[in-house]
Amino acid sequence: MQFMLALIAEERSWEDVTPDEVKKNLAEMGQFNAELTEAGAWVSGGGLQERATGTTVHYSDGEPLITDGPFAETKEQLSGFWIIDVESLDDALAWAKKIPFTSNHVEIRPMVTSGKELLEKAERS
Amino acid sequence: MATLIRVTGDFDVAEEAVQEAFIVALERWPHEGVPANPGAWITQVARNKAIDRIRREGVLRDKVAALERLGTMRAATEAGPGEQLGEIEDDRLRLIFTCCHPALGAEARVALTLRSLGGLSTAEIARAFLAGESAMAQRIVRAKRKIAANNIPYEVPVIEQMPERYWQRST
Repeated sequence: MQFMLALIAEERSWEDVTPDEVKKNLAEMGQFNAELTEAGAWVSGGGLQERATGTTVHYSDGEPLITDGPFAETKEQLSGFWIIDVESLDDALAWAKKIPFTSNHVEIRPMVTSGKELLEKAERS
Repeated sequence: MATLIRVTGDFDVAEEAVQEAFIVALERWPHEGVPANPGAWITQVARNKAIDRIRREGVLRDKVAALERLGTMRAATEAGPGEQLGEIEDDRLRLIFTCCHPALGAEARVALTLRSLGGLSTAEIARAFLAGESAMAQRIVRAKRKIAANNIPYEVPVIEQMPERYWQRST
């Protein structure tokens, strides 16, 4: 089954990041992603650009409304994600623990497997 | 009950199957007499009820694995009462680890364990937590759903995971 590992992190301005840090992060992430691929768990993933580059579309009865920036102005934001294919939450947790972070948070969410599953849930309740 | 939860992988199917088995027992035991091994009898009847339920729901494709496990269980049951009791004990242990999974909140873990293994009613658990019964029922339902949604396994963690499970602090 598939899980999303959502990286929730505080955004740092580019002035605070040194090229060495970038190189180190890229190497560590590359290593982690390679391990996921090798284990057959990798589905997709990637980092997101700064939140100031984001656009939000709000839906209601009328015409969708477009606003500049992220949906919520919180200090910590969605900054990247992985979609992995593993057996259970235990495996997803084991992978998450291997991410070489010293700060940040990763939220693990099981993905809906099929439209059939959603339909069954709706019928049961 | 623990056995049924393991083989069906679903708290609700297991719970209903066991309840149905007790109903059958209430109907039959008074005139047919209590079987030699009542626990095994209940488990066996509940197993059959679970198979019926899974078939009825028409989700065979997703539940083939569960049916296979139920098949294995029948083989084990036929092997003899001794082995069968051993299996039930193991299933209880597995279920404790599932109910106390670190991904569940501390209160949910205790509530679910008391409900599934302690045999306490939701009302009794709510009283122990000084909480309302409907709030407690909701918490237990949510914990069960989380276990199912995340495919949290029914197994005793391997020895390497034990220290981690022991020291796991709850938020």
